Amino acid sequence: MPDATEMKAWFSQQIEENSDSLYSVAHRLTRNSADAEDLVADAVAKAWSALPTLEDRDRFRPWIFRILHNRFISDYRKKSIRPVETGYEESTNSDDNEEISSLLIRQPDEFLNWWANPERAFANDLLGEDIVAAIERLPESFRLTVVLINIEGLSYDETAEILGVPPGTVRSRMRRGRTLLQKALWQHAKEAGLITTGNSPLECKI
Amino acid sequence: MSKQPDQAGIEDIDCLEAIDSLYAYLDGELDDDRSLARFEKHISHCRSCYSRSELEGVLTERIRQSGKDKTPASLKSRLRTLMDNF
Repeated sequence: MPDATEMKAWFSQQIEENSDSLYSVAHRLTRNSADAEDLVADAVAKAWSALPTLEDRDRFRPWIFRILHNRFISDYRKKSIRPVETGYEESTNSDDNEEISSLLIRQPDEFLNWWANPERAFANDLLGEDIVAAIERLPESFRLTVVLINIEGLSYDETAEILGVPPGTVRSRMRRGRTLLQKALWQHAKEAGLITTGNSPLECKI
Repeated sequence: MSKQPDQAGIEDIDCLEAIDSLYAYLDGELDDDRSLARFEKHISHCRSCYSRSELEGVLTERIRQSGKDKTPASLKSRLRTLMDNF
């Protein structure tokens, strides 16, 4: 059993190493820097008081992200300042997921040609900031799933543990979230004049 | 495309199944050997799914590079004070 001094030093080190991740996820949840700071501070305080329940120190990251997410749901979600401005319809309907996948395989050649064309370098310059904006506009459950897996590098099992859902749900949220992202980037490319014709690959009809 | 198993006993999958596995593949989560082999067999001969996989691989990397927010100095200070009082 580690003594209190050692526990505190270890915990402080973990918080320091993970503060960017905690703040980043909190910011993407609350979409407000002041609320994000409050949420992180609340989660850290809660984590410290709950530290004896952490059975495996190697699982610290999913453990504290779960605390952060639970605090967000219980205390922050309702007062989230900005409404969700997605333009996307959130659906966990498996039939809908199948439809999206089905649409994806309807030859997106136009999109692929655009991706491979000489303007790609210019498109890449824009995509850095546009990807961030597109992630911001995802519905919360998809946004958080994409952030935890693709930015924070957590596994599907860890993400399932954090969100309190089965791993299969994480996998379907990833598929749908990434599909929505691609659609949003296509739309942006059209609006930015990077492409001039055609529909999103998700809307291609052949 | 035939779905008969090849000499290694790996049967082909259709594009819908491949797309269903694509993100798990890119995220290193397609960890059962048979699913991995079936997916890789499919993209080895399906130009469309191979291109899709390449494209989504680039996007995955770009998402990762889009990065994290830095902890504001005000929060760093707040956390230090908080933990000093534990």
